[in-house]
Amino acid sequence: MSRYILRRVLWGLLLLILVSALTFVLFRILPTADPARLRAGRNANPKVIAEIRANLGLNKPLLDQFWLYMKGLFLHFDLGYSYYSGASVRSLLFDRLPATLSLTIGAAILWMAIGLPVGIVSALRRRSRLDRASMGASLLLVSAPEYWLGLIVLYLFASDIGQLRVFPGAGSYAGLTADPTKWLTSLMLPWMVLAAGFAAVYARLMRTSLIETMGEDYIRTARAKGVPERQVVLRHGVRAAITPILTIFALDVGVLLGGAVLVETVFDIPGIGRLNYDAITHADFPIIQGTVLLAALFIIVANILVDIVYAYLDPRVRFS
Amino acid sequence: MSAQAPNRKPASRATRAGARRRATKGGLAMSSTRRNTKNALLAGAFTILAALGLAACGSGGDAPLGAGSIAAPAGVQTPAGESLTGGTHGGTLTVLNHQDFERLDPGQAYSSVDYEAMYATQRPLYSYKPNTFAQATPDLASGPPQISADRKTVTVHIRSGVHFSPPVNREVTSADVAYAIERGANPNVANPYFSSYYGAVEGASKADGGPIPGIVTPNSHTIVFHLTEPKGQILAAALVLPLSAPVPPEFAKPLDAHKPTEYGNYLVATGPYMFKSNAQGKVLGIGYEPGKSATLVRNPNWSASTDFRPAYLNQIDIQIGGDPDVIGHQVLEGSDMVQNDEVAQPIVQLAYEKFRSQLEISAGAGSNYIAVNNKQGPFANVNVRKALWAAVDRVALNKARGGELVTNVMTHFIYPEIPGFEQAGGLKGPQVDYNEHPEGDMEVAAKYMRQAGYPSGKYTGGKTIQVVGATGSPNSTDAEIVNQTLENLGFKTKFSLVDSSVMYAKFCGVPAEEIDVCPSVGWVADFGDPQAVLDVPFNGEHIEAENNSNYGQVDDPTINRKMAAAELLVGEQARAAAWASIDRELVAQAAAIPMSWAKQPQIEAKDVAGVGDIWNLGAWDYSFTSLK
Amino acid sequence: MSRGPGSGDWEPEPRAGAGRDAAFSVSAGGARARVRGDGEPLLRVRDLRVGFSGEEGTAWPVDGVSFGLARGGALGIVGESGSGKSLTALSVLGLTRTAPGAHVSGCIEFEGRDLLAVPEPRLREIRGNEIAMVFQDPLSSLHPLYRIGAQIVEAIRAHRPLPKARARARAIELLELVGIPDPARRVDAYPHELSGGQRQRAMIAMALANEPKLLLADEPTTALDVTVQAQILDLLVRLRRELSMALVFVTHDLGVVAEVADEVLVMQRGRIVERASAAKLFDSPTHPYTRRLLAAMPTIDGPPPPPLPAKDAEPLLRVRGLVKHFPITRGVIVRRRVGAVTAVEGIDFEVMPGETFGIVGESGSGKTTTARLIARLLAPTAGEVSFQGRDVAALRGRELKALRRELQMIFQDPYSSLNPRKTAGSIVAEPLAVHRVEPDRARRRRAAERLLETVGLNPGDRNRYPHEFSGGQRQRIGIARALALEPKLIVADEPVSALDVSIQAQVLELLRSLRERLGLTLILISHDLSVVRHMCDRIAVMHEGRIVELAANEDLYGAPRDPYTRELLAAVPGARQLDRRTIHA
Repeated sequence: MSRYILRRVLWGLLLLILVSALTFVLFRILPTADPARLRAGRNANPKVIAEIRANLGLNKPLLDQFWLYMKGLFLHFDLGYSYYSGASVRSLLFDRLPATLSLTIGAAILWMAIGLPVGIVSALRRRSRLDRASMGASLLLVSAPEYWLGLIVLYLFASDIGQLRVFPGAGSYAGLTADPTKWLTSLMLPWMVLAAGFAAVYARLMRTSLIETMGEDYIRTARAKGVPERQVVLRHGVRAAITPILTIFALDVGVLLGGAVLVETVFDIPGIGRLNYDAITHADFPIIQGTVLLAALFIIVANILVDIVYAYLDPRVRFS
Repeated sequence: MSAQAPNRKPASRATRAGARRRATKGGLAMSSTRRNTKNALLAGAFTILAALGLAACGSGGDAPLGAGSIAAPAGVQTPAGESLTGGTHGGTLTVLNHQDFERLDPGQAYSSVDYEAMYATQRPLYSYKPNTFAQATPDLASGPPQISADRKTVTVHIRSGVHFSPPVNREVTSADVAYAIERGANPNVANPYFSSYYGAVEGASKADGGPIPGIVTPNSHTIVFHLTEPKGQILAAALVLPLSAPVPPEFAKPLDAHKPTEYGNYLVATGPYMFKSNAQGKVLGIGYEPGKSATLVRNPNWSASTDFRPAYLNQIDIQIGGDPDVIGHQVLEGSDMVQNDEVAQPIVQLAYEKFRSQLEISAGAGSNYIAVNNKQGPFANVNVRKALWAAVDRVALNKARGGELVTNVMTHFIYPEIPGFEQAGGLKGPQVDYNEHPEGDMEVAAKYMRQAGYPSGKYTGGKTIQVVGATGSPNSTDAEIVNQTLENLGFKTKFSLVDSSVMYAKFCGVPAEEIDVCPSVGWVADFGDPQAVLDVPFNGEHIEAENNSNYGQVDDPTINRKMAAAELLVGEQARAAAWASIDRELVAQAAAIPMSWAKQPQIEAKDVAGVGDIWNLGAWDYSFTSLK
Repeated sequence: MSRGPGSGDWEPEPRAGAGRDAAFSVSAGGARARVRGDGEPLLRVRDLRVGFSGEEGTAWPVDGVSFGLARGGALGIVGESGSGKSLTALSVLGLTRTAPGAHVSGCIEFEGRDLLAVPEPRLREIRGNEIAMVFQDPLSSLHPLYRIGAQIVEAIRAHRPLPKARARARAIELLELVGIPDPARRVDAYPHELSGGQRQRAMIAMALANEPKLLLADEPTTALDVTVQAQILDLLVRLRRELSMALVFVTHDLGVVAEVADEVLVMQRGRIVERASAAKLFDSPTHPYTRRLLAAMPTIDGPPPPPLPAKDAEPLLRVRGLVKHFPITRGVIVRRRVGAVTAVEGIDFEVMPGETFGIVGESGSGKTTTARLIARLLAPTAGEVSFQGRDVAALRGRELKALRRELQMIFQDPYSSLNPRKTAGSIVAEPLAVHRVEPDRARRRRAAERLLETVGLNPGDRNRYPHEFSGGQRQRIGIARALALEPKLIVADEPVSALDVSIQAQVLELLRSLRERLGLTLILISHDLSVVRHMCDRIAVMHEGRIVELAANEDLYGAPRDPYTRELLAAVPGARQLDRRTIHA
């Protein structure tokens, strides 16, 4: 098992290098704005632009630039400095990470807490009115664009501009350590919006998975043993049905940790997604590279975790 | 999120229609200038002669809104109409901006959002009161600049009693101003306009951050500039830009040694407010969190007696990011808050309908036009250009930008509030047949196409023309409309939309790309002088291989000569007349296709007595705004 | 029936001298039900009907079944698929009435109570406690994610409030009772870690956890090897006796039922068509269906195929020293081979043209791998496979493709070996197209029709899809496909294992007739000794990758030499009842 993990970790590292190389190349090949020009501003003297370019190291051959970057990254964990703000990328990332973590983890808990029970009940009462209603609602929520949903939610429930002034509106995010109450209340609406689509998906997943599981032979055996029905459903059915869901869950969380741009923008939450988006508009390569690497890291870790968790959950899966 | 005009950068100084005519020279004393016909060399940028006392030029017309007026409709505020005195002291203003600052280093700041913070925390030698850009008010300076007769020497006296904020604390001296300007040449700072305005200073061309021989400080409160060319009035005018705000060398030098400079993360203030900082003066992470927030607090070392600013507010909390629609609602329905960057169109409508007293509209916010390639391709032919001018539906283009509330149909090139506007044709513009019908007139267009040598009235040549516009609404909508018009004229187009910065940097700003039509370009002048509007975009001398701002590669020898001559004129009347004539010439040549004159909206909450800077697109001025 | 003192209280420590049975605290002198049971019938089923409503109306898979079972009695229910036998057993436990669209009527009296009238919670108390059930496939019937000990404990604690430790101890006892070696360790094993036989034992242990009065067994040995099957049957018989437990044994295998049951019910299409004691049933069946079943069943003493005319020709297929290893690799970045699973350990045999050669063995013997090696679906690790004198082990590319025209394969599972998206006609004609034998479409179609006719299908059905055919018909399609190219050699890998007895008989008959008509050479792989007896001229017995015996049909069955062969033959169920002749030792 440990050898398996080690192998996955090494592959993951290789993947990170590849991703970073790809980002590096992409941003220098695609027609984005020249960061030196952007930094210099309008009407800058070409001499000035050249000087800035030298300063930012953009005039060195690509391979040199890449090598310097890689060296700094893997040896010193130095992700460079933002072209735009002069702040170190690492500090910016760490600064934004708590907000993204809060948003993602809270939403994850919420969507599992809502989606799974709904899916279970739907599976057990197939084709009942409850089932049809919940599956219809889930279809709606899945189709609703996140951004739109966020705006609707704000206009309905935000305490400053909404019809029913229930929760704090956009821009009210405060760090957990700074103001725990405000942190909690300001994330209510974003959590709901982010969780909405996922809860819908997971409800459907759980429903399908459980329906399939409940048709298995071992359910029949459990009933034949005289096990109470609730236990049959939960301990036998759900326990088997949840394995594929948990693996998808790990991946979803991994992806979200790379930044939920839309929700972060609508609710003005200073997270990694928005940092990435702002950096892209400014062609701020170091930040872009940093966020991409971070996102890739989260996904790779999530993948490895998935494999480990799956083997733990399903003893039939053994590492080869 | 593309701005109407490119990056809404330098402030335009527009005089209000109907403002009193100033008796010329205002704050800056001028010696008589000798016309120097051989002059007018601009090292890559435009020159500014705004400080020669530009007064309001004629009446802008208070026509009712329906007819297309420059004036703001009744009930809406304007910068000129806001009172500079009588505000209540105290309170914290919350500012919601969805755009972040670009540069906070006074040696680098060059956009309107940056200026909002700049002019509240830094004191350049001269600056403007909110409701005028006719005259510069001495800020750090104690009086107007003294320009020698040969215009090669400029002397400025600095007032005493102005102190730096903590942790520097000491009194400001002329050496600090000298260092501030000298660091502009430092590649780690790379000030964008240093070479344009200070390029004539002795030794400036070789400067790299070290002392410049031409900048001399004979005593602690005097600074003298020695120039190699007679451009003193330009330099003097440029002293309103933030570069001349003092920077303490002992604090900044080590920071300026970093590539790029770190001074922007530390910052020392001289204005009434400062960015919140720690004991070492570090601002980054404390008073400014990039992409998140900024906090301005009172500068304890600022003294009201040395400043013309009242500085009512105790603190300004700036929140960065979010969705413009949401921000708009929050501001309009909230309290003690303003939005201080581009307002979303639906919000402007909402404010006009339901919160009219909370809406401010500032005219003279620049122009948007369609650049066409005057050098290569079908548009090198003046008749083809005229045909396109006639064919384009400018009313529809303006509708996409928000309609009459925030735009006027553009009919020539000097925009409202700039001297020369009326002389060049005013709102209606020169009444030539291709300009007469802003909704577009295909018959006139066909006529010009025939004159251009296409008997069918449509283009029949084989060339597929390249059209590059900017993404994001309304640029993309307007670009589509223009593209459709081109197709109606018989052109085959290769149409692409790219990010605005990419459009400028890689396509429309690079002559070698030979782009035929650029429908998403715009211009905002640095100062309220017609030269600042017409020179760089239309002067053949200013075509650059890279970063070109003469997007259409306009290079008419007659126009070039006229510009060279008009540059040296002194006196608002003369300048206005000369440049207005150039404007008419540009119209006659259809050098570019006009689209829209912008009026900038700003919004505030109901309990904020906002005062907007007319010279900065009407942005709320923190030093004059108060809470009711 | 009393169970003696302290029956509700498990005592892990055995009573002195009483061995395993002491755990059940049955007093030595307590009333023990005799094998045939007396007194009140334990179970009486009267006119049981189970129906399911669907879109096309209601079907009644169980249509009026009545029977009785005494305490400690053993009842066998025999039928083919679709006869309703499993449903009957499930209904006794009340597991059918909650299914969607189910209608259950009639009366199921258990110890005097009508189970159909009992409310669900009460029924749950009976399930797993007084009536227990063992299912067919233990791999899918045991929960794959829980250890078997935990599952047994759950069965116990569903009915008795025992602390976990005691329940676990009881579970270990049970495992020992059913004959699982090293039960203290095995109790923590997961189902997939046990062999098939052990799994079924575990299932039985789980069913016995609460000493049920009645054990329902639904095809418990169908998925097992023949030797393991024999062991499990022995176990059931023994347990029944020791625990005085009634047994209902549902199966399709007449031989199995002969071993286990006292009384046998034969079901067909939801009805009981014959009811008799075991001996009488096999001796003199009355109902024509029963007779047909008995006749269709190939037995190991049935008539072998007629001998072939002697031919001196060269062997069509020669296998020498065939070896196949599947490597096990380890390593973090670079995979090293650290060992191998040996599937085939060096076998030699020859197949003469026109002969039917049988390879028989249990699961894991390597027979399937051998089949694949011959058909070149796998490449051998070592050894030689010569077809018509040419070594085919080394063939690749075009030559390999040419080989396929001569050598075709019939697969085991008719449900998964046909492409569900192709019509029967196109499946059968595909080889003709692939090998460009018949480029013309119309002629291909006619060839397909002819082939379908050959295998006894309606040629007009060529436009139907596999799912529209029955299992037997699908296997016929598979055979037709194999015949399309008129190959010289056909390898049939368990061609009838997935089929019902009567269908099986038909398909075997078809193969036999084809063999005669077309002079096919056939290699038949099976685990079923009876089938092989019926079909093959010469037979090789494989065990753990080696051929332990290779002999002509008569010799093998008449006088088996290898001990393993003898073991296999002895394990065939029903050998005693169905076979009048004794098997030579």
